[in-house]
Amino acid sequence: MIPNFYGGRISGTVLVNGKNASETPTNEMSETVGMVFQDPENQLISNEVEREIAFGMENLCFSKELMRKRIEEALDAVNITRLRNRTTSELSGGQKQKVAIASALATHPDILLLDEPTSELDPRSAESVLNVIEKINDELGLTILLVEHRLERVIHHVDRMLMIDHGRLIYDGSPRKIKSAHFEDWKVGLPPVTRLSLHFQNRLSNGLPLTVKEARTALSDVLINPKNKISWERVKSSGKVCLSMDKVYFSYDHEKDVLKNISFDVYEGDMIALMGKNASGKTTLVKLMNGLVKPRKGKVLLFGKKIGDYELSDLIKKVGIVFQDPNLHLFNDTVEEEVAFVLRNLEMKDELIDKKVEKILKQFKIHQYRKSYPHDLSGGERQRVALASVLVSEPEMLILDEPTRGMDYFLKKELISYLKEKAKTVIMVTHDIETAAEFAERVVLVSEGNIISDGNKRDVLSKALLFSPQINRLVQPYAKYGIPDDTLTVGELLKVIG
Amino acid sequence: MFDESRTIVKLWPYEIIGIFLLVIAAFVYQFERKEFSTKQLTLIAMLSGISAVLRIPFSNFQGIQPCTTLIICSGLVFGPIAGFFVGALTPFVSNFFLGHGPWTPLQMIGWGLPGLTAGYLGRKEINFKLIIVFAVAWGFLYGWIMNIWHFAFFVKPHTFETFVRTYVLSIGWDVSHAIGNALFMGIMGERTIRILTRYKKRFTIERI
Amino acid sequence: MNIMLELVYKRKRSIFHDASPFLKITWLVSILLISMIFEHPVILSVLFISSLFAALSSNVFKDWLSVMRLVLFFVPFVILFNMIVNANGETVLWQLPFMIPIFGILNITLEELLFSLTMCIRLAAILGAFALMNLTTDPDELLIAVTKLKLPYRSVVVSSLSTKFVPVLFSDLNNIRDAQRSRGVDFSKGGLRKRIKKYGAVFFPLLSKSLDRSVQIAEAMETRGFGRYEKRSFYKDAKLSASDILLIAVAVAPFLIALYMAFSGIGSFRFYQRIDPLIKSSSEAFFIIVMLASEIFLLPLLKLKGVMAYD
Repeated sequence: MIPNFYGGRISGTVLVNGKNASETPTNEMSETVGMVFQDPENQLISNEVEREIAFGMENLCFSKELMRKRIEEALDAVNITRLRNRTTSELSGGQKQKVAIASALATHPDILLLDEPTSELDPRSAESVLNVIEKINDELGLTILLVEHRLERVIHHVDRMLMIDHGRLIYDGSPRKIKSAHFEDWKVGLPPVTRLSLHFQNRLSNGLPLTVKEARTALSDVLINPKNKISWERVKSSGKVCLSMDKVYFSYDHEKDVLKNISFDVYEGDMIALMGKNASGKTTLVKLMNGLVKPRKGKVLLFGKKIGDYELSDLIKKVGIVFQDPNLHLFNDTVEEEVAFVLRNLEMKDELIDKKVEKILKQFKIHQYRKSYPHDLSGGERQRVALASVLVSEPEMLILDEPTRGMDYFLKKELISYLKEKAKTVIMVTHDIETAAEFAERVVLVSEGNIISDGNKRDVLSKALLFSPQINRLVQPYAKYGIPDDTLTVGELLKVIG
Repeated sequence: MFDESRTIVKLWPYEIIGIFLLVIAAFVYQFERKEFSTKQLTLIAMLSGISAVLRIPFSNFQGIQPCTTLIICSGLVFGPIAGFFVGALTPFVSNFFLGHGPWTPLQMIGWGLPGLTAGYLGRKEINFKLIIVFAVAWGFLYGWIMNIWHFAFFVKPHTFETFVRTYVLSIGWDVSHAIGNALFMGIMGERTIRILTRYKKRFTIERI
Repeated sequence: MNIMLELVYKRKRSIFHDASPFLKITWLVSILLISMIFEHPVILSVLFISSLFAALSSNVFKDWLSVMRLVLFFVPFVILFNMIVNANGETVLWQLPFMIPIFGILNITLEELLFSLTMCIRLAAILGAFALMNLTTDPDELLIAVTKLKLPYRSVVVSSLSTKFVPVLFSDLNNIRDAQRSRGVDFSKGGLRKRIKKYGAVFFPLLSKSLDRSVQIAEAMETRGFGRYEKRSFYKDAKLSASDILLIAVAVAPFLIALYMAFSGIGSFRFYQRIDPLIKSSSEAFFIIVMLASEIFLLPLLKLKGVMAYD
């Protein structure tokens, strides 16, 4: 709807309220279409919340009285009246997104277009942003167009779903009428209960269930008759310690401790999901593990040696870390160079480097891009380049910070199966409960600088309400019929109910 | 020894600052008159932001000024007016963090002009070696512009002799700034220009 | 790096934080101009004292002091500079025992020393006033005030965006540094050439990421109608109240006194060849005291305004 922005080729016409979108300048379109983007950091222009909301109206020459009224209205619509005098830079990601929505609403657009508005947020803030969007749709009756590829949180709010694949519109209709044939071609993540239900489509009378509650009604006769009796094994740890933290404290400003009394061992072969809210201390914990920051108190031992005593070149052979944003890693001219970079820092021989790079590029299916400029690739491809550029040095322990953020369901699956196959010991920082359930063996929950729970995923993720995967919540009432109450994923449940 | 009649350059700090402010005002006027797209505006804002960020950690070392390299490259790729603004905004923005003062307008000129002149230089095909020479030259010129301020502010009386002495004395700083520029431009310049050019090419629309 | 970012505007309340940006600009320019008219050590000290008092009453004194420490750092440089550049003054304190080409015989005279110290006081006065302005004024608010003076809006938007993004860019920079260190870039090793190369590993990702950012911001601005019309309206006016105008008049007063002094030849000060006495006449003393009083008079007025505003 705002095509006049990026380079590219356009054909055909887009009509928005009768206006031809490609012939109307973007800033004129703004009177009809309100937009909210992915990254909250990149859409706030002013320092103050009120002025931020006023910005769009100032551009359209609204009078001061009208602006005052509209700001009041917009603040109220998204429930942020108490933030009105705050500085935008001190708001949390979720609050920033709400301010962005309020600013888009203030000019009274006919359509509100949201481009993955929650992809940068943790689940709790994402939930509250989505609630706001739903409220606007329900109470103001505004047309809302939401671009999203993780559907589990939004699908039940949606009236109509449009699916685009390789530039073609392949589905247009109610989300309840999806057929499993559709789903096979799609690269989107349906909610686990919906995916489960696709296997029992002939028994559904009211269309596909989209929430746990709907699934319980729709599938109850399947769930009370489990075909197989299975009890899930818990994989034992190898007992060989890679990394150990002993009573570690950490603070950035010497005043407030970000991490308090952390004692934590990582064993060889562990697949750990490290979970917690934003600013709970997860990232700091991870930085301690590869020596980016030093503890204020306590010891961090890596393979029995103090982490501070390692030379950097030895350290990176032990611990590799991939950050969430691939753009932080990438800067070389070609993908090939990018991947070879860490090996060159290790001063390896050229022939060896070439061989290793060749191999890993093929593994990650980015061999055809080896001569491309990394920034020209798509987000998922960039992520793979960043991963390859770290994994190529074959570190003993791999740390991934939110690797699946912005990845679609199939990419996620691919990544997880790759990691299970190739990497020895993996620690994955993630918000995504479903990913943790699929991937990890051990789950560690961090909150306010403390480890509040650490154990096998089945113990940590079952019956935990906030941190339970959908399938686990679904099966709770059916435990008495023989479905194990620590079932976590669709695959597992299918094995039980056949 | 001290003889009023030998005072040939009588410089007062506020006159200099006044002149420089006028020059800056003239450029701002030019800037407002020209049609700039929103994208160009945010580009200038972002480049000067980076440039300010590059300057802040090095502000204590006279010789190391990586921001000069970015300013010159911006001028080369995006033209004189954009170059001037990236340069002029560098001290303006970074001084919110390092401290504004009467020296701000001089620094704005001292960094604005390399951006501007690089913009004119960029209109022709040029050898990269020439760009390095250009960066070296601006290492000296920046120092000379700032010397006007030191001379006016810290030196008394203002005679030809003290003027020469001030400039001779600053050679050490200027040489180190020039060497720093040569190193930064030599090592980072080509790739910076390539990244900026790639960005510039990417944003053109084609209709069929 | 983080220390630098401590020394910027933070949202607080104090008489100076709450004052109108116009008033602060007037106050600053007045001190700046007076400090440039006079070379009189006592007058310059008066200016320094008034910014000191203003800082004391503004809840930012600790930060202000750490800025002022910079001046101490300058003192030896200014003295050395004058020793080499200048060859004036009759009271020779110390002389270099040999000749240097171009510069001749170098000596330190009492007059040179006092001149250098006076210039440091001048620097302290100016830097002190600017630092207080910096610490108590939101750059955004300042820029909006500037737009109200009929200054062009677009340059203001560019500068304000640029300032707003410095902290964001710094945090990007730190993240990139962490990421590259984890890829084996050791920033603490290597010669100058190698180090610059390593800085490239931080600089280039920052540049590419920021260019992407700049496009997204432009997009966000245009979808909200930026540049739709030639004109735009303003939600917050930097309007002046009657009390503000009165306060601005008070802030201008010392400058008017200074102008009067300059035209009637009071307050000139000679360093060479022999230094003047600090106070030459009773009228000079009188005017200097009046100037100090009028500078300091502003502070209780600001306080009063604050008290009245809360009622």
